[in-house]
Amino acid sequence: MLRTAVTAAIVVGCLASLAACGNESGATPGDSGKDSASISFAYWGSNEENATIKNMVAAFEKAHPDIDVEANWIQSDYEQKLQTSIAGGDAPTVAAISNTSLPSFFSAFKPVDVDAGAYYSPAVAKAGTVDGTDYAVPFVAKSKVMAVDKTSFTKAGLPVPSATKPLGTQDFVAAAKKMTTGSGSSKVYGSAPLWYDGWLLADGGSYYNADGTKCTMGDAAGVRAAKTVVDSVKPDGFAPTAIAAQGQDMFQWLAQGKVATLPDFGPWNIAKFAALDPSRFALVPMPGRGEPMEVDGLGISRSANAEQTKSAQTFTRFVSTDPAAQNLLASKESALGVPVVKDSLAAFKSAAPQAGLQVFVDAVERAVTTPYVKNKVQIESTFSTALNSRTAIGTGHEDPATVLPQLEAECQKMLDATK
Amino acid sequence: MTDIVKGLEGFLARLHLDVALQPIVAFVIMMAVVFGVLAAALWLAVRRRWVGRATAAFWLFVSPWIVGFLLFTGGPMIYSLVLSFTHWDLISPARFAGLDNYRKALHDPNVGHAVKVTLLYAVLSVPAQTVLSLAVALLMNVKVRGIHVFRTIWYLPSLVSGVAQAVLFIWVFNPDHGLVNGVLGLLGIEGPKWLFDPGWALPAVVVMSLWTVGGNMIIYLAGLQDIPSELYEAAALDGAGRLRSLWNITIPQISPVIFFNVVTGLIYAMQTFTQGYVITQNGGGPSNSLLFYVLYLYQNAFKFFQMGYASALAWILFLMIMVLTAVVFRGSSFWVYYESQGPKEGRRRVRAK
Repeated sequence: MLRTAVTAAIVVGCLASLAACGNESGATPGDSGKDSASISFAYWGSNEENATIKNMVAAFEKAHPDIDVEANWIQSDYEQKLQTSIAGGDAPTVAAISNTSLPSFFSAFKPVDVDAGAYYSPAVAKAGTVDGTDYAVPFVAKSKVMAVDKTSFTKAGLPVPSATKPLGTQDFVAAAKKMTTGSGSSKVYGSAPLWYDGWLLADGGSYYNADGTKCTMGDAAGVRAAKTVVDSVKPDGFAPTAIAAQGQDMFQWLAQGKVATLPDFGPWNIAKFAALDPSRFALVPMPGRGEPMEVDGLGISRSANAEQTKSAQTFTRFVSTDPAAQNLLASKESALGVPVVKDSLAAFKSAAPQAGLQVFVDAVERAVTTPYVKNKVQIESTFSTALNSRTAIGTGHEDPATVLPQLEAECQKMLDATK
Repeated sequence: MTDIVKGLEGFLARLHLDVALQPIVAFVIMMAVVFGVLAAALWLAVRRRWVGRATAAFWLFVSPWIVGFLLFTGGPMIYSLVLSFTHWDLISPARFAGLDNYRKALHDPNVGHAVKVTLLYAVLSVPAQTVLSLAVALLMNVKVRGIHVFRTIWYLPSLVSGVAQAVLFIWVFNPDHGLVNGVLGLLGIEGPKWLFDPGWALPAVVVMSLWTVGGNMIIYLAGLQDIPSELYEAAALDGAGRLRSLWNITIPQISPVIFFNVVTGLIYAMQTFTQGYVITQNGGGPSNSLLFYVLYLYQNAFKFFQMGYASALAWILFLMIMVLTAVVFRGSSFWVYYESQGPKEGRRRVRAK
């Protein structure tokens, strides 16, 4: 018995040795020795978004039958899984990455050529840039707009907001207050909860200065934004508290008339919005300067060999700029986001013609770019936890005017430590 | 290792094996080689009479566990120890850091806070779980018709644990729409904000931990049913009441079971993660009130990309658990009774040292 086992082991060992020696170093599974290598592509998203991306991959394979793309849909904890696959030496050839996460991942990607002239928005063209170098090719923009219930405005004697000109932030606050009626469980709110980071930008503030060397959230604009958010959830405020909104679907609240406006409205909701009555609901720009925009790009792994890199470049160029891929970003069933090239905007708007999707495109064009900051995630996470703990933006009671300058100093300390 | 795996996968690809099967088949081949080498070494050792056949057979039979431990526990532990002396973001190459990560942990206020939260949780939840599960086990140890149904009912909640349990209790403790405040409201009491209040979040999680006492109850029940009935009969003849029997017979007899549950409960409590993670992801646990040690470790590893620091935190946790377990073991000499030793033998052994 022992002898049989040993013989079997020796045979298997020989097989394994043959296998390990006989393959080219660095070749990936599925490499069939064609002129152009097969590539793997990792991305995240819901079921519908997965279907959209798979359609884009299929369009690419149709246009480039010599390149196989192994699509790897990661449903949850995308960044953690991507991170561990990179650490484990098994990085996907191409990985989708958001501009907010790129500062943490850029060193895993090769520098790429981004043709800024191909994109209609300067913010999109710069979304894959870290410290002056491009590491990701942008392929979808996720701008934010505001969904409004027009009847609430009319009932309150207010004009319905324009689809092209953003409301001023103070005008929005005044309107939201006026549209708030009732009390208790029958209360109708002027707005869904405001997101501090979004409102900070809308109201003229920012986390950092233009070159990312100074924290600025404690200035007058930062304090004003915080006070607006705090006041909005007071008992006489115009937005439900975080506790009241916990587990609730704000889109349903809008459809049922429980909130009059829904800021922070992303393109992934387009299909749901299209099902609402267009005579009652509309999409308008976010007040003030608008909210931060997420742009997802495609990074090419540093470990990709020359053939894979060539195929990956072809793939990223196709997905990012070819209308055959960009036209698929939005459909009647789902929308991943707004196309980044002009030629595909008509297809995007036709996904829900009654919904007035031009407002998303305008938001992409108006979007403000944010600077590269090392340790951004840790700095902003620490700031956010402290802000929520100490002020009524979360569960605290301290005055934002006192707290924010202190947190800004703490932020500056962390920022300086990264230099 | 990666090159070997990739080499094998490439080889399997050339054999036109399905892509989905390549990793598992490559793993099976590697395992076959490992066990083949092990078997060959043992065969050689038997042939040369370095070891007996029985010894070789022993090592062969325990080899799955040994190989599994070395590959999936021992190896990663040693790797994490090495990592704890580096700065590594998982993406760029690691840089040697000496003791920097350990020094940083000593001065990191969040580490102190996380230790405090975790210890407080352990100190509150372990005794509460022990008392409740033992009390329920005593109740379930009576011989009445339908007792199996009651035992099953008590055990059922243990099947809903982890994330599902945390999500369930986020709703149960919701200040506005939750079951707890709804019931308190019927009694005219305005309930707290529970998971959304820095002062109440941890007590609420301790209450949550009692949801799964059914698992420990089963272990206690097994211990209770193992107590010889003669002991109770003799005590009854001597005039002992129920409380006296509980204190002088039941508790000492199941003290090894209590000890086991306390030790494992303490270790689990020190490793608490899911509740803190799920609740804070849903807006609860303000002011870092649910910043459990392992949650902070996770944040450093997978949110802040500081794997070296997270590894150092993991080793600090390992040492803390070792020390706490050693303290509990040492203390057990005073209250755990083993039938194989006299009631005061353990105490004498401690005093003699």
